Amino acid sequence: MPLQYRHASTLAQVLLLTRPEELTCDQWLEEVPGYVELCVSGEQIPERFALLEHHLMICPECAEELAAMVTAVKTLGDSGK
Amino acid sequence: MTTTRSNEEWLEQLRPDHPLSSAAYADLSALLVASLKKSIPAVAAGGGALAEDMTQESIIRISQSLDQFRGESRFTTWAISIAMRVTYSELRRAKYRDVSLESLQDEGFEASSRNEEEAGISEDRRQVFAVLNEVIAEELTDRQRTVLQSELEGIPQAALCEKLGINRNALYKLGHDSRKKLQQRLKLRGYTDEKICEIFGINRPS
Repeated sequence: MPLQYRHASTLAQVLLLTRPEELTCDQWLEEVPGYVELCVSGEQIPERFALLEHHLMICPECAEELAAMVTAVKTLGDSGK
Repeated sequence: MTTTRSNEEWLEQLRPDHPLSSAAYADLSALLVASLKKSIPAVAAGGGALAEDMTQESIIRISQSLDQFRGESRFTTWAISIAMRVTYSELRRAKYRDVSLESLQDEGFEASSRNEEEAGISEDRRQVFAVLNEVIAEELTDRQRTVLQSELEGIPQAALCEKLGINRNALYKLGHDSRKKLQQRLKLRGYTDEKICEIFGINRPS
């Protein structure tokens, strides 16, 4: 089954973002709680989260989950501290 | 009303033999139900039962993973992150449960004819496209091809995992290996990042 032209640009963009070492979705999930709290507090994001942020550019599903995590922690986090 | 707990208190009290275990689970459950309703529109629209179901599944996963909590955040943030993964995965799976992978891919291929697609494509793009298709056909495994094409069609990973019988980690690795191979082959043919950006009119990622 050949690739379709309509996907060529998307694939080109994803290939430009591809790195030899990337986080998998499960590795990303392990790292993300600390990142969520930094997003909520508005603090500067340290360099150690570079791979996590790179994963967000590759994986729209993790990006969607992150948005929900930030919303939840922002609005409800304190109640269950 | 929930009780305020330190991370250590959560971990202790969620142990099944702890005297405050029931209260801790009840508080965690209330927190997750509220979080899911507040942050996922499909859960809010699905009523209380969906939020309760997803919370129960999340709590099972959390209780099985307590040893993996690294203490780099509040316990509740960690628990919320797991609940989001569990819930989104289930919602994505459910959407595609009765649809076969083959029909999704066929649907995509029937959406536009090749002649229509070829109209207006520059020669440069056509050449890149030919290289990509050659590598996909000759150097990727069947499974890598399936994953790559499914992801380009926007099929959620959870649905794809279920249909292929693999976990999300394995799926990501299949996709990553495919991308690395395509990237390497393009570079070997002289398509640098700069050239690809120019041909496709896209900005180079920082």
